[in-house]
Amino acid sequence: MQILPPTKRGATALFAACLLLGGAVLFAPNWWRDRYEDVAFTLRPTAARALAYGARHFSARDTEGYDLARAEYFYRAAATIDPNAPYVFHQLARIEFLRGNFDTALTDIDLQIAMHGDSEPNAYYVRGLIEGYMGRYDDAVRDYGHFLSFDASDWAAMNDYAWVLLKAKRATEALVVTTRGLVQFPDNPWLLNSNAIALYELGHYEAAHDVAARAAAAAAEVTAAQWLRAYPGNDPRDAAAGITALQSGSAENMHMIEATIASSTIQ
Amino acid sequence: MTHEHRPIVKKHEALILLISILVLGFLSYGAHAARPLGSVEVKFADRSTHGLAIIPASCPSDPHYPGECSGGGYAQGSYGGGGYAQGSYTSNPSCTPSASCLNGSTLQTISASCVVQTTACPTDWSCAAGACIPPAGPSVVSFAARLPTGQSFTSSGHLEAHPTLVRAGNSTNLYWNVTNVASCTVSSPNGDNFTCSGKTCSSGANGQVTKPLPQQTTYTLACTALSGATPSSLGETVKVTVVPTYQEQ
Repeated sequence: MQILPPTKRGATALFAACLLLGGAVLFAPNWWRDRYEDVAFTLRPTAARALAYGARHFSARDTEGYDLARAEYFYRAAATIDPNAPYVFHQLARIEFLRGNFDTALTDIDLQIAMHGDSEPNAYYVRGLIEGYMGRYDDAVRDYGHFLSFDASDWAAMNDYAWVLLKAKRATEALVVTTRGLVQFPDNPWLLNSNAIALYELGHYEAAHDVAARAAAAAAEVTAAQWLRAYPGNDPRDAAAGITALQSGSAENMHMIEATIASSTIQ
Repeated sequence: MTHEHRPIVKKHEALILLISILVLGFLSYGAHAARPLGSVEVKFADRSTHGLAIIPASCPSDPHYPGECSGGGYAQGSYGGGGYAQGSYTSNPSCTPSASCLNGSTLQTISASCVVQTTACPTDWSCAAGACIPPAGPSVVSFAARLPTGQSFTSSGHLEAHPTLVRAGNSTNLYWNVTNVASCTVSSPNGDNFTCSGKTCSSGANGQVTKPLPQQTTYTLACTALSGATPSSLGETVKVTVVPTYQEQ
């Protein structure tokens, strides 16, 4: 029996190790990045580092890095190290909101606002969002309105403000705010959709149909990048499902308005 | 001279390669393992009064990209990072004290030192405008009732007797209907005692039949309000007169 010389055994082992390492780097880079984060944070656990790592895993623009649980871990660590760290409770509120834990999200955002108030005004927008999802439309109207006092040109804030105004049966005000938004963002499918609904609720069916058709056409052009900018806390892999929901919702509205016009014509 | 058949790969080498491939596969799979997909936002649409789908967005919820959702159209906007301000932060947080309702029965307060406290309002209390509100006091409510003769009538809800004039030895029917109470009792010196507990106490549409009355009898309705309510009780009386029976000697 011939015994292989030691150099060949060593070469085989080395080859296997390189294969392992290279493959891991190529196919699982985030695993190594996460392990680096763990080591770096253990060695130097600062609030700034925790916030940075939390933000890295809570970005709709990083498909591979998006990890809500890991983002939460780092934001909670930041809150423990320094409760005054900017936007820490804001981010925790967003995470709980995305999971549907609205009571917990409301607690976090209330704390954020109690601590930082108008110096971090996006918190009012997030609170309006949470309140809207909870059905507390009057509270949401108040918070969206307050956020818009800081940034009157924010299209999503105008759209969402219109949403809660519509739910609070204030369609005229919803029409005013979406019309103002469309001056600046004439092709925005969300604003077009909300504007069409406001017109419809006020009985202007023909005008509602025209705008609804524009909304459906604009929704058909939305890209994944645009959707992820509109919904920044979401998993990038959800973009396709979100776009489909936007497109089907606006198309459904257009058809419902058509049916209303048709039935009123027959009568 | 013999020629030995030499395998292309030795057993231990094959084992090392197999383990390497398995670990690679595990690492690759692990990186993509079970991540929750589909937040509440993805397919959310709220319905307008007439059923149209309202679709909210959430663009400015991310504080890292100021101005991302305003100016220059939604299709534009920079992807520039919005990092955090560097520097030291104080480790003694301070808050503006506040109180708010998480839901209809839960109060949340934030103290000046940023301590968040969540408190359930007492039983039967409700939360509104940042405070626990006590329940309303006892309230009398009219209801549809039926006399012993079968005739329908509307009872006021206050303690009533029908008839209020009976022959000695006959009974009468009592009617009452009170809400926002913990318990009620209708009683009399002759031993009648009707009790109930619960937020509404009622005699029922047919009333409650008393014992035979030998003489004039006063019935008393006494209700205890829910905890914290004002007034704390309610009391009423009704008198039933007995007509004397004359016997010839």
